[in-house]
Amino acid sequence: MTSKISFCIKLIRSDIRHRGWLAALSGTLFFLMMPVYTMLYLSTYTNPASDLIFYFPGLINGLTLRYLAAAIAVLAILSALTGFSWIHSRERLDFFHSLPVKRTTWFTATYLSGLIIVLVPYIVCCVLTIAAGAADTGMTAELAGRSAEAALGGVLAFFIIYNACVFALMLTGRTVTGLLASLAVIVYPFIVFVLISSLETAFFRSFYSDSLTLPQKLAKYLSPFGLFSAVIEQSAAGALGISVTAAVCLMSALFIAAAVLLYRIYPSETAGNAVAFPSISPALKVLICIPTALFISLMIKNLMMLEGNILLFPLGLLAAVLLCAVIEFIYTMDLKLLLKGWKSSLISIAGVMAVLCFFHLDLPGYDTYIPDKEKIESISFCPDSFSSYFSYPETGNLQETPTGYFAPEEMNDTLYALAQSGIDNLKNGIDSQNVYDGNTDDGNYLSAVFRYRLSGGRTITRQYAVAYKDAAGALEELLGSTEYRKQIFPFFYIDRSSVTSISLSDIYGTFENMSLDKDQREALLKAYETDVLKVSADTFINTEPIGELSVEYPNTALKENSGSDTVSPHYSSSGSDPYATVPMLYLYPEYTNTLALLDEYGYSLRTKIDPDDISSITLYLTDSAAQSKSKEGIDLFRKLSNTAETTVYSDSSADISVTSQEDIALLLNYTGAYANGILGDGNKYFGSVDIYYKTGDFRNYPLKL
Amino acid sequence: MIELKDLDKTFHDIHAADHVTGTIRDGMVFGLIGSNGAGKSTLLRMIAGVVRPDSGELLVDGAHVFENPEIKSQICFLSDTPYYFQNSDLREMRDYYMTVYPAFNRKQFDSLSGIFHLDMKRKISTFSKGMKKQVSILLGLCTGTKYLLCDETFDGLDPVMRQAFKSLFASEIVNRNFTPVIASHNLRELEDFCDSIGLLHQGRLLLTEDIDQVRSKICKLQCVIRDPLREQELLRSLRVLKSERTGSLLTLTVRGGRSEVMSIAEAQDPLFIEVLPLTLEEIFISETEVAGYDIKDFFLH
Repeated sequence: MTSKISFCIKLIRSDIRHRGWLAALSGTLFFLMMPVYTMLYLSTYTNPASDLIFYFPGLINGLTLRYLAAAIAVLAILSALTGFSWIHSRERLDFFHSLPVKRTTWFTATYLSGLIIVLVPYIVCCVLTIAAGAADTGMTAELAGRSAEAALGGVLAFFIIYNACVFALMLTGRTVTGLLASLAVIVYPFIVFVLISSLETAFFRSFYSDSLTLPQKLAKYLSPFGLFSAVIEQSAAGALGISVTAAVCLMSALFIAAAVLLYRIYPSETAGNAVAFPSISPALKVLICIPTALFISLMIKNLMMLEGNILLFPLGLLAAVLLCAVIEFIYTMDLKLLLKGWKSSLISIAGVMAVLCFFHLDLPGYDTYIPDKEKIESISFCPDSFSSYFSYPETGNLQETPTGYFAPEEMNDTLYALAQSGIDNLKNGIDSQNVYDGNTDDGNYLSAVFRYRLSGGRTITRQYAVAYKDAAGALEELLGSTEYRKQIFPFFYIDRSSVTSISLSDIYGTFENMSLDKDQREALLKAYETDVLKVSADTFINTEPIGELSVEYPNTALKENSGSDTVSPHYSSSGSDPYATVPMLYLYPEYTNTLALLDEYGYSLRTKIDPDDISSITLYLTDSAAQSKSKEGIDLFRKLSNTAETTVYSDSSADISVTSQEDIALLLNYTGAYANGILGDGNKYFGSVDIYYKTGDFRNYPLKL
Repeated sequence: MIELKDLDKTFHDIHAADHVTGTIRDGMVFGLIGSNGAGKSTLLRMIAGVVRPDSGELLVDGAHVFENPEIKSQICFLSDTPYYFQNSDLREMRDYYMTVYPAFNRKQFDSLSGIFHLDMKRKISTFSKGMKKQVSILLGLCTGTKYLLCDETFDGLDPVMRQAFKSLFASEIVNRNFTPVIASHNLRELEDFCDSIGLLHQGRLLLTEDIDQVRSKICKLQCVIRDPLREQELLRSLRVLKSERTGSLLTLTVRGGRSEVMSIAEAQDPLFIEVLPLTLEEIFISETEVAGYDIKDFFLH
């Protein structure tokens, strides 16, 4: 055993000596990109040293310097290619395979030398980088630990790409095809899983996802490319998860095992052929061609902004034919033999068409699916308008309540009926994608997301277009529940005791910080709470807000989560402490308690804009508005004076700037409300107006025609 | 001893080895001759354990070769295009062979390199084609393996070097248990060097015998027989591989011993009769023609 190990070490040393150039290249690249770049980076670093923990680990594994991540990937590919390229050369293969050495020994020696050639310089440079950081700004134990984690991430990132390439090389008989196969193995699962999501998005009209879908999650964990990105990101953020690490180890183990098995049966005579195992060539072609052709056709559709999915069929067909020709050429290197594998080409093309038909005809019944009522625990109803009506604390850009808008169980029947009406609309050609196109002539619709939480814990999400009046009826019923109001209104997620200031805005849309003491603030918030719970649902649905409150408080969430990139708070920096703001606490005429207190504190809300306060108005017309030439629109334009400046753009949209008092007064009549109600106002808007005040402020309002 | 039992190998549509059966005995020089694409290299690569046969059995000293380092340590395969590490010199290649072949004779290699005027420090990539072949043979010889498989190794060597290496091989055979297997097109080279030959054609081993036995079993008969009936009788009574006529002179390549053929021919009352030995090249041409490999007269017709 000892002699075997010693013999293997001799082979490794010999291989490293023959690939010394790669070791030198690795060392040079890593040295320049790690310790040298770190020293340059730190010499210009101006943030507090304590913040270095957010940036420094990224210098070690390539999150901060993306070129480093690319270098790790390229060197992994290069190391595998140079190490095992001899199996693609008949001369070298004759030489090595005729020697009295087992193939497993050759594999072990070449595999390990490839790891050593790149990883030793990398680890040395990691140590140098940490030393450079310690010498420049000092090194805490926490930072050192995070740096070590980042280095481990870099090693794992290299490991997964290297193993994928080694596996790919065992499938091929030429180095060029080995390189192509390596790239294919690295990105193939990623493309396949992302493709599933893309096809769902493109074809299923009720598809909705606000987070990673299952295929997208699988793309992260089941593809070398996804894992490479994940380990670098997570290790740089100090959050290298066990799941990702385990996925890297498991996938690497599978790649190595498969590579060893393939190498043991690798036919020496296939050196120089594109594929080492000719029997798998047709299957490989089909497996590569179908997802790639679909991916290309979807990409072209998106790049060219083509509408509809019918064009995907000719695009997919074309892409499949071209890909089959390219793959066949790679196999044979002879243009005259492009039709040699016509059967597999035919299967590939048919496969592409079959997948497109599967999605286009909605064979799984995705769009019309609704879970059995008995299996549903609760239903969440979230119309699009919620995102512009609510803004929740913790994260200012979070558009959904932490409870996910799930209604009390007793509302299930109402929401189930509403969802079914959405499915009926979809069958009639009205869906969430065309609801705002102006193509739905038979009444007003709005887009809403429905989530069905099933008794098994699974949640199914769909997006439908529902009639405005149906949605309003359902929401009115929902808002009848105090519990539901407390769930959906952001006000109830605010820690009132920590509020440090309250701002007020009226129809002018400019916020004024109110000078209130703590008791006054508490009283005002208490009054607001009373009003929110007291007023009828009709107020929220059919009345337009006349102003809004915005509360500000120290953002503890930011402090706690500042290292995580998942929280992006909507805050304003005031001094050194960031403050979180929760705006859009709307005021209605029916909020009598709140308005009375505001009056008492000396803050009255203006409900109309005085034309004298305006310096100019710019009217923006959408292309559909400009083309529709409605009677009201024509009347409006006729009434404008000659001083109005009109600009028409190539896409038929237009803007009109007015400065005269008559024009300003006229346009104010067509200006929409300060803000819409909880369901929007059920009207279609054909543009917007920017009102520029003489104070220098401006605000955008919808245009009513 | 190398035993080939019904070996078969197909690459795509090419039947490189077609149920080859034969034996290569120890202690003699075995020449593997064959037409282009006959499967000589494939057969050697199978014996060296580079290529695995599709079917059949290949035993070297009673053991399978493929993935058997113990047996492979007794075999050294010299490819027709020898491989050397990039930028390597003789010392590096020698050291590598020493790592892989425990019986490598460094002293002998250093000594022979000097005799053949091969500079140990010079990069092999700067050597001529012939010199690279010399290096290949020296490395192979000094591995100390029992079997040395040479694939077109002597091609590219000048006559002096060829002779020198033949002497070296002979000396090795005398000094140790050594069996070189030499594949070549150059039949004249092998004629005075090989003890036995294997004749490959289109993947099939047409014959494998001692060279003397081969010669004793085939000969060339030149005769003039006046009576056409007697001539026909002669042709019927002999196993004719090839027949040519120049005027009244009939030249036949026939199977059979010299005396046997002579007595059969004399029975037909010839005006003139002569039995000549065949060169290896003539034997090769005759045997392969019988097997359907005859294009030499194609352009004359």
